[in-house]
Amino acid sequence: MSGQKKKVVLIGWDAADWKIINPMLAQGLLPNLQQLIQDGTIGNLRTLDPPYSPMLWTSMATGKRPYKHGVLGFTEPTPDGKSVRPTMGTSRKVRAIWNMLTLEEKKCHVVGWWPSHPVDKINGVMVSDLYQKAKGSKFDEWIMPKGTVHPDEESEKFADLRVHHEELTGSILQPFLPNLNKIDKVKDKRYRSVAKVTADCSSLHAAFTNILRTREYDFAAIYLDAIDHYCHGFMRFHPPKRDHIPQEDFDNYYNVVTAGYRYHDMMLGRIMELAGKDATIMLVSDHGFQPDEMRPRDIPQEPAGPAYEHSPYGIIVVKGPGIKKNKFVFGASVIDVTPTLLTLMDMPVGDDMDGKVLLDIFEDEPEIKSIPSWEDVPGYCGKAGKDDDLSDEDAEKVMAQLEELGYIEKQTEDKEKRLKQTIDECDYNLARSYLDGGLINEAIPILEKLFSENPGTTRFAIKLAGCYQTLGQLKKARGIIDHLRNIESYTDVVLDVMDAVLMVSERRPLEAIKLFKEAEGKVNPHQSRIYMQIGMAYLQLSRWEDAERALQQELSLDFDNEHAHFILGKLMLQQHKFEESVACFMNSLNLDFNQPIVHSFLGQALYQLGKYEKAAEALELSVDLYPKNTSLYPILSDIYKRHLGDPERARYYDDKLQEIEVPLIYVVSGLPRSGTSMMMQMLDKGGLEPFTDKKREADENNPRGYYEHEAVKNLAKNSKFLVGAKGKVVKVIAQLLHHLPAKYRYKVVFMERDLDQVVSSQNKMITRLGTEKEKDENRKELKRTYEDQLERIQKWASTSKNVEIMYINHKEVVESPFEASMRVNEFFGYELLPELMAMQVDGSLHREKS
Amino acid sequence: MDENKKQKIVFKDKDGNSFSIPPQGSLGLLALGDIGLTAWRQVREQSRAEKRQEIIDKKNKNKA
Repeated sequence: MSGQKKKVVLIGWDAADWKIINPMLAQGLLPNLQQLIQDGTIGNLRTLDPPYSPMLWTSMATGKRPYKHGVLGFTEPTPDGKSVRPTMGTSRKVRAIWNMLTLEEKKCHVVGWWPSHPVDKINGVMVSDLYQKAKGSKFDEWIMPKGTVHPDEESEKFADLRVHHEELTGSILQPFLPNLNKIDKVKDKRYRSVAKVTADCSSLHAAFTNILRTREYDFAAIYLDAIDHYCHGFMRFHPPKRDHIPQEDFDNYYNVVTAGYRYHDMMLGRIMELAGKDATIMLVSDHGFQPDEMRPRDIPQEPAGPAYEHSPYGIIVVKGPGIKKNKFVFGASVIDVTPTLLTLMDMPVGDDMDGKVLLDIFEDEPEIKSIPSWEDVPGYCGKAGKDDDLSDEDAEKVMAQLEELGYIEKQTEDKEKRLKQTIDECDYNLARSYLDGGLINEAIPILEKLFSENPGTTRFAIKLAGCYQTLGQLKKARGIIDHLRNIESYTDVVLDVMDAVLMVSERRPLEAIKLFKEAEGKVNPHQSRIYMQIGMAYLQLSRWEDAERALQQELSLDFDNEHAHFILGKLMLQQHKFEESVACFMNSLNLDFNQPIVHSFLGQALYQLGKYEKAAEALELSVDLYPKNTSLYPILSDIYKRHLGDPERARYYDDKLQEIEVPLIYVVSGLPRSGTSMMMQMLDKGGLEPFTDKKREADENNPRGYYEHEAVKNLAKNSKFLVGAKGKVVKVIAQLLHHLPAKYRYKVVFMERDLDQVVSSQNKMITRLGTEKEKDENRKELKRTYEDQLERIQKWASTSKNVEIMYINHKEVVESPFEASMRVNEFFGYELLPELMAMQVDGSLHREKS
Repeated sequence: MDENKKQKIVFKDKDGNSFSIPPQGSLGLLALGDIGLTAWRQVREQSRAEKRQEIIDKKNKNKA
């Protein structure tokens, strides 16, 4: 590959999906794609959440997630914040690959990328995403907006290459609509959208082929959204026919999707021909589209509702010099496209990119060059600035045009309301993007604001409840579900499922299973993932066979559910079925490679099988993806030292641990009388050394001891004593947690207990000590104070980067000590002995029953 | 009508085989990109001109 001029062609097919492509390939309907596949490497391309095209294609072109690149939806507030406009190329805050290529003086051409209007003035031709959108009913009335073509002087030539939908004849539309002559064109206008979509992609294809035919290039890219449009409009009529689809509609529109793919294959053939044999061709899609029984029958009435029809995996096919032939690449994601393209062109990858280089596509592993960030590289990159932006007036016109054409949803007349809706939608998408990137603490404040301002919007509420659930803040999550029950638009059965999901988190598996069983048959099993949840509930009950049956049922409905594969893998691991667990973890990773916890479990399973080299590889991948998980370093060191005979590599991990390790202190916390002493005792017996001065002796209130240290009481004024607590577990009451100094890392197990029980227990203790009598008014006041304090602690924990917290319920520990011990052991990195921990729980000491 | 204008525009594929372009166009032509589009429009214009001429000739014949 080296020494050869590298030419790369990137082709984007919005929503292309293997589930449709594969049967068509088998029938020989896509010969050009077949050729590309035979000569190249293919794979699934994992989408991002939210799966909205302007955000995804910007991630594709930048290697960054939306919270970094700034494109947050289909529409956005204008820069002055007064009105709404379609998302523009200037909304992108970071450089795209064509800006990087321009900096390197490479010849690059880009056609139709979404969003790319107004065009960047790159080192080549750029045609914006407004180019193909026809206005008016005649070609002569179709004026191209300013900023559509770079260089501007080429505008006229490219304007002539546009195809107007009115030009398309019956002969051209016949392959899509075999019954075209029978369609009642007065009543049924759907055939027109086939013409419009076909004309749009033909315009872009004509511009792109002209560029490829007449110009030199290092990089050329085209984006076509037609497959997505064909699918949104006509996938419901795609065979097999479902009962609720009228026969006449089926007869008229059954072939639109198939013909759409075949047309794309024909265009692909022409591009391959023009690109030349020495070019590397990469074909990608940003997400898939449900083609089979997964097709939703109804689309939610909400902004971007049609995205519910998307599936989470797009496609990737790469073919060219130095690319493996007839191979499969695993774990690819939308954000990997730009880093991989840069490596293909011997250019450095930005350290600030979220994606990785898809090394598995290369015959010989390439050298990956890197720089801190492309944003800091000086020079001309061609990126359009504010001066190139559309005026507010023009933006309004474009907006109105796009609404009229149906490219974006018609907005409300009330301008203020429209602006507020747009701001909320962008914020919601930003929060979802943070969540997708694993930044839950960044997402929560945004969702809390959205929920407080829009308490009737169930989407916001559900997402926030999910965050609370993930963080173990189950009371808050339950509060939201209770709130939703008061909103008429939500059906009880959906809420029952949500409730049951929460019950699984609350470790109430029997109640959860009962609710799930009642909901079975009444909710869409794909969307609710009901069988996966049932499987998780059975797992909590240690009913392995039932759990496995439910998880297999989930996978028979949706084999692409990576979480179900993972949970099944954990189930196999628990039963010491190591081979099976490896297969499950691999299935999960094949669907989504970016799951550090799955790599970590895979490493454990491989270790058990004695496959130490592969175990080390899996654990190293886990560390690469989540460097904060330093608990794997000692394990890796051990594998290299004891099993692989590589002391140097072992030392590498030992040194790394020394270099980066901020001392870790384990903390048990909670309100007084919430079970903190019990947890300290469990951890002590489980193998974690307690940091205690043993001054406070066991008494009637805590017959097994308090496990306290006097110095902790003075934590607010002096924290020096914590140096002695490194690697040990220390008990810190909830009210003092925020005084823990930032120079250490903390893993906090926070004991939760019903506040009435806590207050009651405290009062009894005080009564026993003879200091004060139990009074009802004091109980209420104390309970309110505790509620406030708990909220502040949750906020502190979620905003402190050096703190990982796990909430665990006192009742759960008492009733299911082994499961609780397993959870704590998992949180602490599997260094404890859960069996011994569980043996320390004495139910008879649990005085305050609810 | 000029004899040259009546001649059909003939294209050749990469193997040298000739093919004619139907005035009503085809998906295959659009898939060829700018070349196919331009050729189709040429043929379409030629066909329209021929039809216009035929109508004029017919009218003139009737008048005569």
